[in-house]
Amino acid sequence: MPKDSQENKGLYAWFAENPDEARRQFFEPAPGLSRRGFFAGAGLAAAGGLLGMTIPFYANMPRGLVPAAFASEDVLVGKDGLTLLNDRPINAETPAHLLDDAITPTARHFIRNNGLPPEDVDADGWTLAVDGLVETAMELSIADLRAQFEVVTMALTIECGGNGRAFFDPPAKGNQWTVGAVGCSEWTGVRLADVLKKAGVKPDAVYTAHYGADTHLSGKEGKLPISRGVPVAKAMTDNVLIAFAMNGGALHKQNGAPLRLVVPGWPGSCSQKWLKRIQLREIVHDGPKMTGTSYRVPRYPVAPGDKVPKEDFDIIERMPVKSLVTSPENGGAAGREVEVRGHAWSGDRTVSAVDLSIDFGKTWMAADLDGPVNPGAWQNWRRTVSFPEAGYYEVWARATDSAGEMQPFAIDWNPKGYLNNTMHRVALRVA
Amino acid sequence: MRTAFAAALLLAWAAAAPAGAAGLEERLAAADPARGKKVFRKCAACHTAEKGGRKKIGPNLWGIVGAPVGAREGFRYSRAMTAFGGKWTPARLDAYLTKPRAVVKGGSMSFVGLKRDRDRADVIAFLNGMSDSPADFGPAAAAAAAASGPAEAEAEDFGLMVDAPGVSETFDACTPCHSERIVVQQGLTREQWDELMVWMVEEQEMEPIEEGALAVILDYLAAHYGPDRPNFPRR
Repeated sequence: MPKDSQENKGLYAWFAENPDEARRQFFEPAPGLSRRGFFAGAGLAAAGGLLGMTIPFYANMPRGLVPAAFASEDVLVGKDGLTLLNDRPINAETPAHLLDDAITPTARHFIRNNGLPPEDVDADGWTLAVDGLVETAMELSIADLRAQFEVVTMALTIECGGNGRAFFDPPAKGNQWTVGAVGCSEWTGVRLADVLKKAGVKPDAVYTAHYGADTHLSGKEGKLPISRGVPVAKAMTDNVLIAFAMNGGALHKQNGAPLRLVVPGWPGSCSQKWLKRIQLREIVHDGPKMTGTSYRVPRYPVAPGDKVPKEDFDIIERMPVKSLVTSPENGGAAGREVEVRGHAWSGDRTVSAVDLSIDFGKTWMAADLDGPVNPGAWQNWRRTVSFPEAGYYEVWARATDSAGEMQPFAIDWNPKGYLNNTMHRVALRVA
Repeated sequence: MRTAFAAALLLAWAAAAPAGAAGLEERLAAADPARGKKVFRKCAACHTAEKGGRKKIGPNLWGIVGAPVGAREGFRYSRAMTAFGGKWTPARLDAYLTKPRAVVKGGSMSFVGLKRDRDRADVIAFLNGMSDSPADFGPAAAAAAAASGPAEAEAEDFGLMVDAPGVSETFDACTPCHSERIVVQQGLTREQWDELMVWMVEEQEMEPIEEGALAVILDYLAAHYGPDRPNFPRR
């Protein structure tokens, strides 16, 4: 094998350019050369080169052993403790007790993919197009975004529209999220509003259309897995960001690196990942997952299992008031006194109260509730709770928002399994 | 880059000296085209292999072994595949079919790959036979293959899907594009599963499944992944 080829270009490029030579070298060792000898020659050089270092104890490696560094493919690389719902496309949620941090670490932010992420997520050379009904269409690199607009960092809550779907009865199709498809990380980027103001939104624009670089599962060229948008008025809100950093570092690849939208308080699908283009449209955007019954709920209450005509569905906008108990962990043991804590949020609103009950909802006590660190961030709360005697308890948390809306006990069932904001219950065995 | 190298190394290593298995030459010499035809069911959602077969999501594969890469008339290839270039030698097919998206980065084939060495060898042998001029894989290492004894009986791998009648058809129809993990989470009636299949065809580019196979698949799904969720994955 040419000495430097594999290090410079990678094995497959070399295979592509020299298929016959590669085949000879990798699959037809010279006569009389043992496999060990073959591996100690070209194969070992390739292995060492691709590992980026030599293998000092190579002579001890059993024949055919695949280095443990490469032996398994963990689809949740860079994530910590997430529950994998689906591996192609990747969808994973965070157990409630691992969402205890005030700001969700990158390793604990849930993943919701509709298609396959792009292979190339290099921030250099990444561009964002802004076009459609604007005075001046623009193409911006990430460096352009940093240079031309105010860079801001905000804690912003993203929740999947289907968070809580697993509790629907009858079941609704889709990923069966329990409670952990939500997170509030610190996002750094520029305001979408600033970019749109510079481009100049034409008066007849009513909706944005977002396009990412992910590919459809079928592999069909040009077919988009998902392309959603928001009304122009929402896009002009000053907590909607085009983000290029997450918690002060790089975005995780599965969370949309190197560039994504963050639209706090609306279904996560509005926050297009691997963002390549924002188009201004004169109609409500009709991209994949905008039409039919996707991210829509009936505009009137329905009984569980009811069939609802398509035309009776409305697009989901803000997400409803909700709270999560992140400590103690569900099902754990506890003493007579426990600090109960968690987060609460309500799309486009603030939370005005969080109340706890340890007696199945008969009496309630107010938790100590922080304000949001900025508009669009979830609010942290805590309260030390005393239990009268040993035994089994449930701690229920119920948030009330600035419009007076409160979390319900029962699911407001809808055919596609969205917007389950029922109270979170945590079981405790008190000693 | 390191990740790309790691993936490349893993494939090269596995292809060059897979643990406890034979090299590609030996595997091809001992390959079973009839078994390869069964393995090809995983491919048939997107490809035809017979002479003059139509293109589906992927191109027709008649005579693909040894053919130039990305050269089927009337099929629009990704830039990545065109750039990959060269010919579909058995060695390249073997590497590509192990993990298509790692080998042709940015290519359109979203298929997850065939992990088992024997599956790839058999499907390559099957495809080699689907040709006007099949290559002679020869008995070069047949003696070695024979010496290694009969292949162990192997259970088919259906991931998280319940092993019951219809599982093979269901797994092969669903998993070319997505994991079985999304299937086993669902709890739908037979009618809802049927609607889901229509949606897959109308909006998600799935090839229509012929009626007989569809009935088998719907029966399987309704029996094991109904609203009572008898097999909901434990977490």
